[in-house]
Amino acid sequence: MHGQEAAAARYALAAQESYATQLRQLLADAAALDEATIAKLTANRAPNSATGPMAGAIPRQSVPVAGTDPATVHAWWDGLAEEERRYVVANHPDLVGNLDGVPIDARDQANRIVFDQETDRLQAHRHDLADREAYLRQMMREGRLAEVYPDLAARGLSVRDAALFDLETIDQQRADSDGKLKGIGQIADRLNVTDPSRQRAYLIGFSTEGDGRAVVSIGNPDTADNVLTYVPGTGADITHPGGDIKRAEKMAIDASPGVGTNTVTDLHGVSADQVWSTRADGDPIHFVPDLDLVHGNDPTRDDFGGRVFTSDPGGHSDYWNKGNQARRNIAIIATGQGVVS
Amino acid sequence: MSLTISQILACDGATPEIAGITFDELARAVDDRHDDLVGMLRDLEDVWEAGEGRTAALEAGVALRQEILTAQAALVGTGPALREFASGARALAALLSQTVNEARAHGVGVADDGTVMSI
Repeated sequence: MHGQEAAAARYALAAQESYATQLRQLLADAAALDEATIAKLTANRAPNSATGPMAGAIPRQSVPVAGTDPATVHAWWDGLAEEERRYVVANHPDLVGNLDGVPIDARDQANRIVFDQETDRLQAHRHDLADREAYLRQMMREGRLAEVYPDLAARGLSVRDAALFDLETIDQQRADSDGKLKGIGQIADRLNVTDPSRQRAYLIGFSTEGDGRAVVSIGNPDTADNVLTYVPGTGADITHPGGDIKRAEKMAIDASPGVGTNTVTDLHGVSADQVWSTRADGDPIHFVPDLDLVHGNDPTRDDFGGRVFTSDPGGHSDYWNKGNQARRNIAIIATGQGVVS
Repeated sequence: MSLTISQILACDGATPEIAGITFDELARAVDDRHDDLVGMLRDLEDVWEAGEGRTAALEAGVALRQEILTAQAALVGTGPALREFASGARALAALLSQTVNEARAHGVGVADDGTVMSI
């Protein structure tokens, strides 16, 4: 009996010590979080001088150019003072938003600035097109196209054909702008989610050149436990993944005719057993010829050497549909929780 | 500065999260106004060709532009700081709450400063 009581007492003491240690650690973590937040907020306060020159001005030409070794970029960034980093993000966001080696937080801030600027530019372009179209149609109705194209009229050429050609060009440019603005709107919807229960999205790459490109990360890859690189769509060349996917521990490729290489071993920065691909029955990507020289091998082919996961039958945009096996599999690949089918 | 358990549990992570998002939006709005100012200065240069008033107006515009950029740069870093605090505070509150409840279930009482006693 005496022995049992002693054991119970020892157990109670051990429990007390264990909980005391855990609580001390949590309170210390809370104090550290508090201090870190104070430091960040203080560092981000504007200088007191209302009209003085902006602190930490960094000339554009001193920012490392795209393609610089990420370690070099990182060392450059580490060498900047806090106000210099803020200056770079605010004044040269187009240079650092996609620059490998710059921390994700800063890239996100820079890309959001570029994102807003591009949105404004595209909307302004859209308005200009509408104004130009209205002007051309009015001049056409009033029979005054010779005033719009005086050089052509002077040479006896058809001003009506010129106007029709311009109107067609306007239509094409409008469709292009509308497509980009639609994509931007969808990205903005996710970036600007205010529901605290949903993870924050980071815009770690953005460009409207060509078909446009956005790399959105759910959570910060710099601090994440699991980093999955998702490669959607058509013909992405990821042979040499940039900083966006430099930390790629795993890669999921869907609906791709090829990724710029014939075998998984040519993909740098990710091990072969962590490269996964899928293609749904019914996806028209099947009709893209499997020409090694164009896109590289179909990554779901055996001789590509990666691993394959299943998708429910569907079209090119159905992989992320709720309930689709592809969506479940990508989640399993990302978290390592479960068995990929 | 030491914090107490009740202070940490009382911190509602949603509020600093929303404040962080609001700072982000403010940074974007200030950026937009800066763009407006740049356009306005360009217009001024075009339509006001000479005179001391023109010089003074353009100088004022440039100085104001500098102030806006300075403020915008400061705002850009504030949102993420608040969001990171919110995320950390929520996680710590959840862990603290769980630890205190477990301790009590094992007959260990917890004072607000984290010290423990048998109950």
